[in-house]
Amino acid sequence: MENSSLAADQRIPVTVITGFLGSGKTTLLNRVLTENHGMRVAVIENEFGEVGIDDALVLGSEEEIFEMNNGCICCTVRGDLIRILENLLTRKDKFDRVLIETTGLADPAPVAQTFFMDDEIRDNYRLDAILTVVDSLNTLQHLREEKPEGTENEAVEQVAFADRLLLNKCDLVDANTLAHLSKELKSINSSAQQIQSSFGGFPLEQILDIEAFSLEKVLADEPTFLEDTDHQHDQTVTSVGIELTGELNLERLDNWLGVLLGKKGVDIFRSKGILAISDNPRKYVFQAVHMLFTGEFATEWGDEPRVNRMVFIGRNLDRQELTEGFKNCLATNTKKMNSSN
Amino acid sequence: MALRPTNESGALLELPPSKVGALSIKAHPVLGLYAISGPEGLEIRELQNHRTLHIDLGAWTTTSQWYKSSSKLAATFGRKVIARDCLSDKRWESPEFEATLQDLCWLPQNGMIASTGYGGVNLTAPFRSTAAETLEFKGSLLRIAISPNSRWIVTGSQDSTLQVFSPKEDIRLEMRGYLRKVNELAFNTTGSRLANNGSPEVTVWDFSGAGPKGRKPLQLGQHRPTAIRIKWHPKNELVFATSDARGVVRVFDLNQRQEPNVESWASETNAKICVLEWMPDGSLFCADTSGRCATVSVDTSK
Repeated sequence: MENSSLAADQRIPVTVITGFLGSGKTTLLNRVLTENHGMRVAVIENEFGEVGIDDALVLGSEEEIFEMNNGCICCTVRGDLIRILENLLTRKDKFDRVLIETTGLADPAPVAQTFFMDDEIRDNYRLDAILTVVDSLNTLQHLREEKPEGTENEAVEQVAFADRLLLNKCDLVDANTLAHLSKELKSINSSAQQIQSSFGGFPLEQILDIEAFSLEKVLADEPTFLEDTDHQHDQTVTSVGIELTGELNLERLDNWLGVLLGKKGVDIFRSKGILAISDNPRKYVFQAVHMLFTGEFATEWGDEPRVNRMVFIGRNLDRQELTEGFKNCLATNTKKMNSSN
Repeated sequence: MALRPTNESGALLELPPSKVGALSIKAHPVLGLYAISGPEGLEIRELQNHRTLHIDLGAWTTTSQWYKSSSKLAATFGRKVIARDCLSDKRWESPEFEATLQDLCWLPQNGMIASTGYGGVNLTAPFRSTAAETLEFKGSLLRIAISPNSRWIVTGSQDSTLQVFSPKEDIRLEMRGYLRKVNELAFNTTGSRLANNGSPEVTVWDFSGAGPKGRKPLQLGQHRPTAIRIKWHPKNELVFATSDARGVVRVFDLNQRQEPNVESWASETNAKICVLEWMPDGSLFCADTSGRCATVSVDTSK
């Protein structure tokens, strides 16, 4: 656990764009590459040779997923990204942020875990946000697709991993369909802010350098996201949000998260939290992808109420068990508690 | 022992740009050739006029290595190994392996090539066969070093371990406890010691006799976060140099009877020293990522 402030983070921000084929990723990417926004973005995309588009740096990659030898079945990294991002460091003067486009069916976990598992990447780059572009016309169908047992529904996974959901092609659906889609997305991932647009016309300031990978910025933008949302029946991938008043014991918290993610990390896709640790004036920012987690002290609480907020997104989550476990991390175990999912 | 800069104001000469980009450059010790490996492939040039002799485009080429002082060069080429004989224009290609290769090394005794990447160490016999034998490992091997007698194949892993293979003796060892991935390692000239990074301290393993099993390694010096380059002295088997990301060079002398002697020198720029080579006169040549170079004399008599 490091004692550093996010405000002083000098690492290069990285945005990951996921989304099914035809959802509008490329349209959005082309806007980033061609619009006069003043940002210098290096783009890494699949099967694309290195070319210059209006002085932008575009590099091709071929997805190579490496399992680790540490006994954890869900720990994987993207070898191609490590190679390319390390090489990009020699050209640091030519860009100030990175955008990674994944293929339509790619699992976002290895991309995110690369920023946890590789020392050089972790030292030099900061995962800013995972954005999932959602085709408003066809996504409901993808989300409901029955998959053979043992295989994942990639659309559900991509929604679950997102820090922001970009609902594209809104012009092609009526208000009812859009509301229905929005509700279904919220029930899978309550922490991801939803932005609606057509033709990939999302405001770039809501896409790049938004610090959405951590919960702190998300709460600042949308403080009520932990409020109750309707469940869809038979839905196995959901979010559990917990709010807890009081101060936590860091050692108990570490132990609980270690055991929880060790045992259930395969099913818990993402977890993040802003926590009040006893006798520490600063917020403790926690984030995890499957079993890999990091935590660091960030800005001070100041006049804000010291309320612990945590969200888990994953498969077959047991809200009661998570809430009880979280509650047991309180420095004094008698504080008021409320939870929602 | 003392380190003294003899020239720390030099600027590196710029070579004409290459179509392949540049990840590493290997000069031939005798033939007046150099090989450039880059994201787009491999180029071999004449040193005198920079004329291209051969070029292979179309695959990420991390590194290349000349076979002793012969005209043979091997390079990683995406998921394959390619080898060229620069005098006869012969070109050889391995089968395609599981993932893009990270490093390779010639086996000094028989001219085979060991290459590493995700999935293990691949052994191939260039110009003789296209078959490959793989020493399997479930993980990504980043760097390889082979002892001069070809007995030990040692690799550094993404999983912060050293993986040791001795195929003839059927020995497999794993050294754990490193804080970071192990991506730099080197045997000394006799093969009795291997030094590697992976932690702030450089670890030195004793590979003499029966090998490192059961022997406690030396852990020397402090680099932040870890050493970038490790180079053993070409004549003194117990002296090696290291460099790091903050422009620090250290020379370790294990000849001392008790504590090893360590001397340090820091560059003016504090930039990452990514090139570190012993010169024929016993000095150290250093070049950093800011484009500056320096020569540091090493007096081991004191």
